[in-house]
Amino acid sequence: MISLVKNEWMKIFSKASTYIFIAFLLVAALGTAIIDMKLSPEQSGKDWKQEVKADIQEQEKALKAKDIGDDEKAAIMEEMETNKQYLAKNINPDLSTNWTYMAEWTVTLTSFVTLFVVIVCSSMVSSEFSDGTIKQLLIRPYKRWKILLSKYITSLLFAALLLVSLLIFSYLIGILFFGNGSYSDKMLDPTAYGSFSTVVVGTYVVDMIVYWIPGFLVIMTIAFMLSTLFKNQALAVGISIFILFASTTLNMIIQSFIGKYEWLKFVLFPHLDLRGYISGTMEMFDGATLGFSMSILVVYYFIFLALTFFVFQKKDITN
Amino acid sequence: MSDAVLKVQSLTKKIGNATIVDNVSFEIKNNEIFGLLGPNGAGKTTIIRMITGLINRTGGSVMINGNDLDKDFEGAMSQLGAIVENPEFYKYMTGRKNILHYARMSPNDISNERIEEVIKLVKLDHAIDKKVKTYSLGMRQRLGVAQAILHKPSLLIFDEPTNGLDPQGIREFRDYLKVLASEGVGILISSHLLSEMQLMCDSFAVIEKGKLIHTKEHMVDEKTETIHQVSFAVNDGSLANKILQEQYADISILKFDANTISVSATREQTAQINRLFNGNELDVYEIGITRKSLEDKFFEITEQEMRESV
Repeated sequence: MISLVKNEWMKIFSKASTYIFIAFLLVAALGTAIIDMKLSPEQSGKDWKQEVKADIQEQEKALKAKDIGDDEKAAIMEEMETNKQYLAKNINPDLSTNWTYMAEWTVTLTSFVTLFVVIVCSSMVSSEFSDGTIKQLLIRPYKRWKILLSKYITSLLFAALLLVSLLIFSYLIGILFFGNGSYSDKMLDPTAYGSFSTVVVGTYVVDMIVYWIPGFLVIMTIAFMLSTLFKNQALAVGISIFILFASTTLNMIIQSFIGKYEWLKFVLFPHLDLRGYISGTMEMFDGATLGFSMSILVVYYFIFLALTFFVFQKKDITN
Repeated sequence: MSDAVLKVQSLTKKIGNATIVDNVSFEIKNNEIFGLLGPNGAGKTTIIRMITGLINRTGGSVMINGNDLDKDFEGAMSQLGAIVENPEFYKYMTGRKNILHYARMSPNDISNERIEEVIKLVKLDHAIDKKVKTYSLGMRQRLGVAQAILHKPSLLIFDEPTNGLDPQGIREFRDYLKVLASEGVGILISSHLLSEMQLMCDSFAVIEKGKLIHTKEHMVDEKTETIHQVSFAVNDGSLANKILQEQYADISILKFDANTISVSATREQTAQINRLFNGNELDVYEIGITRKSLEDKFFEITEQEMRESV
C-alpha cells in the first residue's frame, strides 16, 4: 500500500500545476500581508488607550452637532460603544501581529486550499481514464479497492500538505510583516457581531481552521467520488468546482425554506460550514447543534465513500 | 503446476441481449506465441479485457499459470504482463518514472539493475529520462514492452501491438517476442493484421462475432497431402495444358498462357507432373509453389462460416 501511495504522490508532483498551487498560496499570503499593512492605521507610537479616548471625545462632539441625521447618529453611537468596549475589556483595536493577520486573512485563504484540493481530487481517478492509463494500472496484482484507497489516502495527504503550507506561509509572513505577537492577545469576536464578546486571537485562528476541516473533507470526498463516476477529467473537475461554488447559493436557498419543510434539515449544504457554531451566536435553523451537523456530515461522508468504492469495484474498464 | 500459462474456459460476455463473446475456450503453453485473429469488432479486445480482469465476465473461467482469476486475482495478475490496446503512459513523467511506477506495483522486488537491463533491452537508454510526451509511438510501444516484461511474468498479452508501428518497429517487436517465447513465456497477441500474425505466431485462433470458429492451426505444415498452387514455367504452355488434360485428368488446371501453367497439386503430384512434362519433351525452367497464406486461410474460414450461417 505504501508503494501505491508513493506512486500517486509521484504523479501529483510530476505535474506543473501542483507547484503552481503551492506557489499561489505563498503569493496569496504575501499579497494579503501587503494589503493588510497598507490598510491598517499607522502606528503613532502613542498609547492606544489615549487614542481611543480621543476618538470617543470626538464622537461625543459629533453627536452634539445640529445637522446630523438619525442614521448617522446611530452609526456614530455604535462606533462609540465599540470604542468604550475596547477600553472596558482592555482590547487594543489597532493591534497588528502575525496572529491578527492570520485571523483576518488566512481564514479567507482556506477557500483556495479547498479549490486546489477539489481540482486535484476530481482528476485523481478521472485522469487515469482520460489518459487511458487506467488499463495499465488495474492489471497489476492489487485489488481495485486497494488502488482506489491509495488514491484517496494520497488525496488526504495532499490536502494536508496544502493546508499546512498555507498555515506555515502565513505564520512566517505574518512575523515578517507584523512581528511575532502573542497568541493570547484578545480581540472582539468577528463572528459575533454586535455582542462585544471577546476571543483570544490565537484560539480564534485555530477554531476557524478546525471547524472548517469537516466540511472541507466532505467536499473533497465529493470531488473524489465524481472523479470515479466520470471517465472524463474535464467533466469531473468542472462539476466538482460547480458544486463547490453553488453550495453557498444552495445553502441560502435551503435556509430560507427550512422553516417550511422540515426535511431540508437533512440536506448536506447547510451543514458544510460549521464555523457558525464557534461563537454559538449564529443559528442556522431551530434546533441546529454542532452535534447534529457533525452527524449529518459523517453520514454523508460514508455514503459518498461507500458509493465511490462500490462503483469503482464494479466498473467495466472499456475505454 | 499445469503447463498451460493461460487456460480460458467457456468465456462469455453478454451486454443486455447482445452476446459479445460466446463460450470461448483456448489454452496457451509456455514458449508459445498464440494469435487471436479476427476482424475489428469481433470480440478480441473484449476477450483480452476479461482475461486481464478489466471487465466482468458473464460466464467462464480464466486461469493464469494455474491461478484462478476469481479466487486469486493478485496471484494471477502477478504472472501477467500486458499492453491493452495503445501503450498509454503518464505523459507528464519521464520514461524512467513510468517504469519505476510499475516496478513499485510488482509483487516481487525489482532491482535497479533489472530496470536498467530492461531499458537497454528495449533500446530506450538514450531517451529514458525524457518525458513520455516527447516519445514517438514506436518508443512508447517499446516502453510498453518494458513495463510488461519488467517483473518476468509467465504470460504476456499484447492487444493489437503493431498498430501504428513502422515496418522497422514491427520487425523489432517480432524479434522481442521470439526471444521472450524462447525464454519460456507464453504470449497472446490479438490482431486484425493477418500477414503480421503469420510472421509472429506459432498458432492461432479465429474469432468472429464473438465465437471461436477455428483454433490451433499451426503455421508450418508441410504434410504431403496439402494442396498448393503450383506454377510451372515451360517453353509451351498450351502443349503443357494439352498433356495434362489428356494424361492427368484428375488434376485441376488453374490457368495457363504461352509460357506458364498453374495447377493445384500436392508435393507428390508436383513431382509426377514434372516427370510427365520431361517425358513429353517439354522444357521445364522453373517450378514455383504459392503457399496459402494465413490471409487466404482466414478468408477461407470466415467465408465458409458465412456460407454456413446463411
